[in-house]
Amino acid sequence: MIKNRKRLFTKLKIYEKDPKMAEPLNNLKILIVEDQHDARALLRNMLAELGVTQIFESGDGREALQFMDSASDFVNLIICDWNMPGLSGVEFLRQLRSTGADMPFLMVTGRSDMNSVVEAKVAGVTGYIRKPFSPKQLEAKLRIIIKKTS
Amino acid sequence: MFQAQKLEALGQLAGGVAHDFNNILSIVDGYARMAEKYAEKGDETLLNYLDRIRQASKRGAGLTKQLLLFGRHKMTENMVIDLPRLIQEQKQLMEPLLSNSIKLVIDVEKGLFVECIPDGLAQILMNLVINSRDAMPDGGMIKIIAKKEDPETILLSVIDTGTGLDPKIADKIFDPFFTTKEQGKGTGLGLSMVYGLVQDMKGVIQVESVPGEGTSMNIYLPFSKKGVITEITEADGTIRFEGYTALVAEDEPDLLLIVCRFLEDAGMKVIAAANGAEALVRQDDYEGEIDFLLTDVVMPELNGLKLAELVQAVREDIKVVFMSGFPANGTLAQVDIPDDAILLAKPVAFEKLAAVLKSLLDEESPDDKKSEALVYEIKNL
Repeated sequence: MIKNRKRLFTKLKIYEKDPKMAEPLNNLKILIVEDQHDARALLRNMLAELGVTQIFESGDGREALQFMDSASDFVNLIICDWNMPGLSGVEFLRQLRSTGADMPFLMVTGRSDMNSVVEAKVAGVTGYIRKPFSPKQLEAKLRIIIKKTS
Repeated sequence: MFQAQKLEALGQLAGGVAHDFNNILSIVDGYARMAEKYAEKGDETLLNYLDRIRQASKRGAGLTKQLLLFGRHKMTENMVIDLPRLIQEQKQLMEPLLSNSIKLVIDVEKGLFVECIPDGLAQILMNLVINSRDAMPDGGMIKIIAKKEDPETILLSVIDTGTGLDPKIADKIFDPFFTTKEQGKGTGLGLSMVYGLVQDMKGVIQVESVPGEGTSMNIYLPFSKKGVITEITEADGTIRFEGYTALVAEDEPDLLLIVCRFLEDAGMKVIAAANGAEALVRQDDYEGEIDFLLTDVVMPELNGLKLAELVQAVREDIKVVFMSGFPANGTLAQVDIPDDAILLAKPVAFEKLAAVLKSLLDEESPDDKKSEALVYEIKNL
């Protein structure tokens, strides 16, 4: 936790553009909010595979809020885990939306019961994806929410 | 009553565990995927091992899916299902699980409709068949019967010639975590899940067993009067697709309209989309099952191939038909159509389209599709 706080946000390495992509996803500037280091690394890799070049990460909802407060221009899509200690994904989303930030928000979840889905929808989620997912499934979701919000 | 309470408490626990477990599995699967990338074209053995890791994590994901179902964290809505059709579809999945010494016999009547979660019914069949298999280490026969018991009730039976049940444990078999299998071989969740699912379908499950002779699991399900009429060839030869759903992506508005109208006239529910990206969104918004994707190949933003790839990633069972204005083997070579794809040349002749869709439905095994590329060339409409 403390280690996380020390290095707030690192802009990760700029990944090479993949010329094979249909309509490139490289305009995306994505913030990943996920407490588990491994899950974060995976998501980052999947995104890089899909041609996303601008990826920010946070392991904690409160940090992510701080970041969005000052740097929301650098992000046009958020991918966030539901289950996090401290600020949960939904709570993060609620607080984010209350600041007027309206960028697409993809919730990553391990559950898909009706109540959770309704809760997320009310809080203003744009889409959700259930773990485990493949890069293709992630790409489908990203393209769906881009289209929905464009 | 007590049984229901016990199951409910366990369901909640199971749901929670499944969630955390999914997290771990996605990490295992993800790293295996990444490692495969690095190992590509390198070490065969390594690739093989990585593949096994991924297979195992897939099995794990299947298990969590079961746990979630068991915990009634419902994943899909109830739908009217054609039971014989579902059993035939499941047959392909069941056969690989059985050794050569076990014969699987399917004896189903036509037109048996039940209202249920399709996934749930598949889970029931799988679990019962696996139990039957495990009761027959020396081989034998599994028979799946579906018939109308009376006008209101459907009987689904899975019968085996296995060791049978010890009468002493007969009333325990639906308890969660009760298993007679060796440690590590069974979770003891199978039958309790079956029990829960049958209850969800407002059905009843009953066991008949003679030790040494075999077991018969009988499930009585209410017959759904909302039964859909599946495809019927009419007297004049036209094929009906009542109860099926198609997603159509075509950026030429007139053609989109024509194709949709044709499919609707054949009784199909149609979701129309003016381009690939729209189609992707439409299918995401649609809760029910989609049987077909008919898509133009060349479309701006998201072309038909990419669309098919992405839709198949989220809807594994969808059957894809490409429609293209290019001749089948000329210019089209520019676009990389997969070998197993079905391609209809434009202008699309409707009789042909209907025949292709029907052939897709009739396909017994998905492997048949891969055997050769089906290219239908239509010279004149």
